[in-house]
Amino acid sequence: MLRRDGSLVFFTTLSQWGVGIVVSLTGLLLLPGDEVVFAESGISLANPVLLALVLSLLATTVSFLHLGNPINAFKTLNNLATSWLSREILGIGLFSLSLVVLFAYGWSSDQNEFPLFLLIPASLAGLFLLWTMAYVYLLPTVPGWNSGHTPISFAATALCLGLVTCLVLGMTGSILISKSATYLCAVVLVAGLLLETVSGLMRQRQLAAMNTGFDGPRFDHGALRTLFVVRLGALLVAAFSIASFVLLPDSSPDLVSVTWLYPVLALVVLQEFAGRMLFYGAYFRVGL
Amino acid sequence: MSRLAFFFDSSACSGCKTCQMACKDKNDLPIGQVWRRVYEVTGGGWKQEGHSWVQDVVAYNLSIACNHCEDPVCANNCPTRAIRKREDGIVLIDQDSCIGCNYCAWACPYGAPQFNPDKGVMGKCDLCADYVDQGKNPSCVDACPMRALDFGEYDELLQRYGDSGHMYPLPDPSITQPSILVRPHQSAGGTGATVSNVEEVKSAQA
Repeated sequence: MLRRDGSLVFFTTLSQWGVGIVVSLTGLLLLPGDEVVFAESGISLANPVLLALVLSLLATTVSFLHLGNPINAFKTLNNLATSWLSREILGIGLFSLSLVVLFAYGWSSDQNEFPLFLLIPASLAGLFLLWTMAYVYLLPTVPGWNSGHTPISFAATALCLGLVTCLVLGMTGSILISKSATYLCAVVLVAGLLLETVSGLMRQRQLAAMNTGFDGPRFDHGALRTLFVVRLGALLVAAFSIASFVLLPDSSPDLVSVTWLYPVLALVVLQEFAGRMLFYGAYFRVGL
Repeated sequence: MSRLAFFFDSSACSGCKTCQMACKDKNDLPIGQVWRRVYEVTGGGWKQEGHSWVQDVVAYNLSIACNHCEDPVCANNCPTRAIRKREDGIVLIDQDSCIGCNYCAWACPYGAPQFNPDKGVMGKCDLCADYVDQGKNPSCVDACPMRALDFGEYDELLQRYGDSGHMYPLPDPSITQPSILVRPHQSAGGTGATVSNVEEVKSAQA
C-alpha cells in the first residue's frame, strides 16, 4: 500500500457508509405502507441523517491528510471537465450539503420527519459521489483497480454499512422499522455480504494472475493474503449470523430486539476497512 | 501547436547516469528525487544449440523522464489544473496550484510526476523550459557524453532518426502518445529481460 493511502481508506469507507445510510433510508421510505417512522431528528448520533452527515464530514476532514499541500484544496473543483477527482470532490460537497439541509429540516420540524422530497436528492447526490469515486480509480494505468470489481465493491460497501446501521438504529428505537421491512433489510444485507465475498474472491484470483512487470508478485502472499483470508472469514460469519435469524424455520424476523447485532455491526465495519486496505494494496502501475 | 520531444539512443547509452545527475543538479532535487531515471535492463544467459553453448545475454539501458505526451493523462486527471501543456508541447506543473494529491503519479505510466516531500507538491521534468526559451538544450541532452540523448521538434527528430521502436520496459505508447523517439539496443526484445535496478528507480515514486 502506498505510504499516504491510510487516510484514503478512511475517506472512501466513511463517505460510502454515509451514502449507504441515506440510500437505505430512502429505499425503506419508498416501500409501500408505513414501513419506517423516524423517532429521532435532533442532535444525536441516533439521528440517522446526522450520523451520515458526521461520517461525511469526518471523511472529508480525513481526506486532507493525504494532501501534501492542503492549503490549495479550494482549487480542486478547477478541472470538472476532465478530472474524476474534481467531480468526486463536487460529489462529497453536494452530498454533505444535502445532508445539512435534510438535518436542518428535521431538526426544525416538530414531527421527527425527513421527507422524501429532501431524502431523494440527498440519495442522488450520494449515488453521484459513489459513481465519481469509482471512476477516480478506473485508471488504465492501474490494472488492479481498473475493473468492474471497483464500482461493485464501492456500492456493496455502501449497501452493507447502510443496511446494518439501519438495523442497529431500528434495534435501539431511533427509527421504527416494520417487521417486514426489517426482514427485507436483513435479506438484502446478506445478499450484499455474499456479493462482496464473491467479488473479493474473483478480484483476488484476478490479481494473483496479474503480470506486475518488474515490480514482482505481491498480492497472493504475505500480509495481504492473511488480511484477505481474515476478511473473507469475517464476511461469511457476518452473513451467516444475519441469515440464521432470517432463513431458519424457527427464526424470528423481529431483529430489532436482537442484541447480537452490535458485534455483527462491528464485524461488518471492520471487514469493510480490511477490504479497503486490500483494495489500496492492489495498487501497482503499468510501465515504469 | 508544436511538439517538442526527446530522442534516446539505447544502442549508444553506456548507463553512466550523467543525464540523471545533470537533471538533479539543474533542478536542485532533494535526495531520492530523480526526474530522469536510467533503467538498467539485463537478462539472458547460456543456452545449448546443438553441440555448442551460446549466450543470449540482454544488457541495455533506458534513460527516461517526462515524455511531454500528446495526450497527457497527468494533466487530464489533475483536479486543480496545476498541470498544463504549453503551446510548444511542454507539459508543466504549476507548483503554486498543486495540492500534492499524487493522482497524476497514479495516472502516468512513465513515473514522471514525483512527490516532493520537502515542498509537499508534485514535480517532474519540465524539459528545462527556461533553457528552451533561451534557445538552449535541456541539461540532460547536453550532459550526455555518448550523445545518446537529443531533443527537438518531434517531426524533425522523426526525419533524422526514423520511427521509434517499442522497447521493454516502456509501456504501450497508445496510452498517452508520448513525445519520445527511441532507437532500441540490439539486444532489446531478448528473452528474460528484467530491470535490475528496481530499488533505485522506484525509490522516487514510493
